[in-house]
Amino acid sequence: MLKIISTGKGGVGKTTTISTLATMMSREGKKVLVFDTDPSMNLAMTLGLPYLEVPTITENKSVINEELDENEDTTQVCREILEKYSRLNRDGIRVIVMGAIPDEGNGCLCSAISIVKIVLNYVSSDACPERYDVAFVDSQAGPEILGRGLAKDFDCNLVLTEPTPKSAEVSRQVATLAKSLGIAKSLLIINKSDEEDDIARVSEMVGIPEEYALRVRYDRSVIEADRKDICLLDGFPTCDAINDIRSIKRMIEG
Amino acid sequence: MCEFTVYLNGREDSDVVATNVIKSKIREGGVSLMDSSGKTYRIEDADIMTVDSIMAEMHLRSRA
Repeated sequence: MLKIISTGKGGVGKTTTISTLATMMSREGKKVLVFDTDPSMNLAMTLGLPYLEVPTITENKSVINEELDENEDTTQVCREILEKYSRLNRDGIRVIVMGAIPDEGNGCLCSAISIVKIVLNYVSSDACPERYDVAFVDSQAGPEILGRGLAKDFDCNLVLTEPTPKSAEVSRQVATLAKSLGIAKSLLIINKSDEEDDIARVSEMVGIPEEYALRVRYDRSVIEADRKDICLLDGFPTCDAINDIRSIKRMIEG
Repeated sequence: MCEFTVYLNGREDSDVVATNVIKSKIREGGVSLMDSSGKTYRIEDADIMTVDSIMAEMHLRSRA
């Protein structure tokens, strides 16, 4: 199973990129699982699932914890998490949403991340009867998610950035952490790019070689799809952004 | 990250008995641990001495 995470500063296009790649791969017949570990929780909506219809790990944490207490073998617990707390979208993508901190003063998200790690370990193992081809993790903004070890030994880290020094600085931190976690490949995705020399300039700032960097051109279609609440791939299948995301897909698979 | 490195009888790297631990219980005279991959460990004849969230460390002491 190919494991891919998207990382970067807030608003750089992690969710749009992950949801488009997941949809492309699913429509090619791949079995795709996505985890939304961003407390902003936009991935499910972007994949066409109504916000209130998708249960989250955090809102069901107590029940999951009781099940973990009762079962030292986590296999059955993970099966139930997938059955009860995930949803399939219309393309057959299985979506799991980690959720946000449910109540004021109710601690951090570490425990929910730990549950996601257990489930990821399960779906990667022979104990899982469903053979997923790809698992995507859409992360929260910033480098913290990598510090939590969630993406240890992942196959690919999509380091998204805008072509600006502030955004590139976050990506530089992310790329450094990814190396220490043993992530096989980091691809630098320069999103909302309007100049061809962005690749050379931003690659140098982030510290990822140019041969692992791609541009996603600035494209009004992305904003238009978001405004109309439609899937970018369906609404604008030949737009610049979609063509550039196809290049990312080829680079992941190549 | 609130996942604990668990030490037995010391604070050196060689005293580490489990990492990324998310759950621990005193059970039947020993300590049961579960890490974030779902793997479980059993430390016989031991007590939990310290749980330190700042350092993300847990210290056990053997009674043997």
